[in-house]
Formats: sequence, C-alpha cells, structure tokens
Amino acid sequence: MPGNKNILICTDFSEHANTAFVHAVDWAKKDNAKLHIFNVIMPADPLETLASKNGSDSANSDDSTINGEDMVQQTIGALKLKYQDSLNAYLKEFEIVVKIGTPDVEIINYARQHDIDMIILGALGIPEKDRATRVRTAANVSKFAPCQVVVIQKNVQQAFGI
Amino acid sequence: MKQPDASQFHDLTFKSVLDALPCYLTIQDANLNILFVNQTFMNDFGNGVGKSCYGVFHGTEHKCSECPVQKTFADKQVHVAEETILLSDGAVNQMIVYTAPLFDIFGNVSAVIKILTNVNMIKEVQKELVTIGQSFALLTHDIKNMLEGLEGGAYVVDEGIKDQDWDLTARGWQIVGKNVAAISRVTQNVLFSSKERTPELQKVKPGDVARQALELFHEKAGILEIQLNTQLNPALPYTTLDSLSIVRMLSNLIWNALEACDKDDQKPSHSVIIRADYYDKNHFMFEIEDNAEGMDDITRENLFKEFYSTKGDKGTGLGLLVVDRIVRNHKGKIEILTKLGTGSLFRAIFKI
Repeated sequence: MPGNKNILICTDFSEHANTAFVHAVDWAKKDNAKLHIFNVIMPADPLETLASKNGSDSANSDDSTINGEDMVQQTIGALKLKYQDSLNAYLKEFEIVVKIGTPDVEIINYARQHDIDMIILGALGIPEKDRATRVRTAANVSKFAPCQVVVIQKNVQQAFGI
Repeated sequence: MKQPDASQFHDLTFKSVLDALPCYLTIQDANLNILFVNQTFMNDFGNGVGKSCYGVFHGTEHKCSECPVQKTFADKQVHVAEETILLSDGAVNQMIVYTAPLFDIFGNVSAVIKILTNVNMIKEVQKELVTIGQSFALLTHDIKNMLEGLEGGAYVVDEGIKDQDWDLTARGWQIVGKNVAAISRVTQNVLFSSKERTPELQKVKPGDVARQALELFHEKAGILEIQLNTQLNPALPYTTLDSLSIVRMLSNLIWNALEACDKDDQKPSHSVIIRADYYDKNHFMFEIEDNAEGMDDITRENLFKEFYSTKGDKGTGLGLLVVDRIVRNHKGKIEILTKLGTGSLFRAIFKI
C-alpha cells in the first residue's frame, strides 16, 4: 500500500493496540505520512444529545462521570505522555485525536472526513469482560471503512521479531 | 434633504396602537439605521434604535443584496419580500416583509416603515401539505404497482387452473402472496405513521422481540434465497419496551435489508444478520446487517427524510420514517454504517 498520506491508528491502550501502534509508526515513517492517533471514549450516556456528547453539558451525566470535554483532554494528555516524545523523534507529522461516541462510527466518520488512506487497529482490544462495549469494532471498521484497513494481532509482533 | 432623527417619533400619539400590532415594526433612515421600533419588536429583539437593520435582523455587518427598504427609498413604492430573520434568542424565523415610504413635506422619502410578520407556522403547514401531496402521490403510485402485480399473479393463477398446470398455479400464487404482503406492509406503516399511539410498555427480553420480528421473514428470505442469521445474546435482561412497536421497527429494517439484498446483483449470495446484544452495561442494541449494495453519502444523509426511498417503484421510504419515530418514542438512538458495494448496518440503541 504505497503512497499513504494519512494513516489512522486506533488505540484502546490494549496489548493488540500497542502492537498495532508499532506497525503504524513504522508505516507512517516509511511512507512519510501523517499519523493520526485516535482514541474513542464511550459516552456516559450514548442516548444524550450532541451538546452533552461534546462535553458542554454534563448535567444529565451520572455523578460518577466527569464532563465529556474533561475526559477528552485527560485522554489526550495520557496519549501525549505515552507517545509524544518517541514520536517527535521519529515522525514528521502526527496528531492525537480523541472522540466520544461508538468506536466504529467515530473511526469511520473521522476516516471519511480526513481522507485517511489506511486504518490500523488491534484485533480484539481489551478482554471481553473489561470492554466498555460489545460493538464489534474491528469487524465493522474492516467492513465499512472507506479505505484500507489492517487489523493486527498481538502475536504478529513476535512473528515479525519486532 | 434633512434626515429625520429618533426624537421626532417619541411623542407619536398612535404609538400605543403601533405597540399593540402583532408584527415587528421599524422605521429606518436611508442608511438602514433603525429610528423607531414598536413594543412587539422590543419584546423579541430588544431596543434596536440606533442599530442597523441588517445587524439586528440578520446578525451581519453587510447590507442585504435585495433590500426592500433601499428599493422603497429608490422608487418610493411599497415592496414585499420574504426574509429569514434571526431572533435575539438565536431562533431562525421566516417572515414576510412590507416596506412603505414616509414622505416629508416636499414629497421626498424621509424614512421607510418596515413591517415584518412571522410566517413560520404558515411555512410549516405549507411544508406539511407538500409532504402530504408527495406522499399521497407516491403511495398511490406504489399501490397501483402492487395491484398490477396482484392482477398479474391472479392472471397466472387463472391460467394455471384453466390448463390444470399446478406448477404455474403455484408460481402465480407466490406472486399474489408477495404483493399482498407488500400492500399489507405499506398499509400498516401508513396507519402507524398517521396517528399518535400510546406506547404499551411491558417487560420483555430483547432477544424474544427480535425472534418475533424474524418469524415474519423466514418465508420471504427463503423465496429470495437470502440467509437469515441471528446472534441474540440470551444474557440480555428483561427491558421495558413497547414490543409491538419494536417488532415493527425491526421488521421494517429486516424488510429493507432483504429488499436491498434482492436488488443487489453483484454478489453470488446474500445474508442478513440480526443481533441483540449489550451496547454497554446500561444499554442494549439491535443490529441489522446486510451484505447488499450499501449506500452512497447522499443516500445515507437523506435516509430519515420523509418518503426518501432508493427502491424506486418498490418502496415509499415510509418504513424508515416509522423506524425513526419508534426509536425516538423509546428515547433511543440509531447509528448507521454503510459502504457502497459492501452493505449496511443499522444499529438501534436503547436503555436497559
């Protein structure tokens, strides 16, 4: 898949996603592409209005949940802490993006809106018992994304000696 | 020519009459600055005296290209226009605008009265009438097609009976059955969408509701040679739903998926999958996924608009309208994934 200009790596901080991340950085460096590091936060209430979804109104949220915009900023902070230093030295251009919503919908919408050439994501994400949703993210992104999709499994890392 | 100023309008004896008018009234100078407003104006726009007409009504710093006030200044005539007006609370309203000249003693136009009447309600009624007209035409057209199909089927049955050809009779009967089902579906959707019904809420298992909807389609899927698969999570708890509505919602989505598969001639085989599962710990979802031809961006964006259909002669678009209404009545949410050439997935999310 030569000539990728925009590569999207979706991470849920799982082992599979971390492996996928290594591949994504490698690909982005090889193609001199911009890497979009993408994380989706499941909304406290998926049935809330868009205003609430974007964190501008948390009045209807559970007391235990924090404002949506705060969550986005916290996650961006965590992603920066985890990846920024190494990426600064390694890649020409990258962007950290965090959205609130259903992961497959948000990934595909973002890919459509930002001319993404390739999406890379981990196969299964975090274990089923710990997952926030039963939505089949990898399967749905693979089927409905407007571009090439590469799904990486954890053991691929070992297979390739990475 | 001496320009009028705001002070000369302060002591008008008819001000109370103007204040009582159920329309917005302003008097403006040639620079479109507001010199006088009535109380109705003040109620919705605040005190606009001294501000520009375009700033107050349109929230812009530029004069409108087709300004009826300027036209009246130019030709001393009454002008009528329709404008989209921004109220101070951010609401956008359609208004009919009348402008009329105020003359000084020399017969020059010294100011212009601009009267605005809110016609939002009329516009809504107009829109509904157009929709009713369009829908009536579409429904009539569709029912005509179905009746023609029914007549065709009946003719084949007659010929089969006449010739004692039971295979032909069976084929004719299948055509009759297909068209009766189509008429029945359209009729049920028209009835469902034409009146407000009180939801009959009851505790049900989402998987059981999905099975009820599925039972309606085994035969149709068999005839069309489309695989109908289910993935229903038995662990989903009892949930408060209007099961009749949810069955209708699911059956409309399954019907659409089967029709889309039938229309797609690019793949050797087709399947429709119905899922019921947790969305998260507090919500569950139904998913209807097909591997038909999928949708382009325009179709996806217009899906839930009234009577939008991609099925040409075979559909009214009413089905998705009913789906949308049922989901909204349950305070749920619909998500759609689709790709042209690949298929579509409709996901309805509800609270557990």
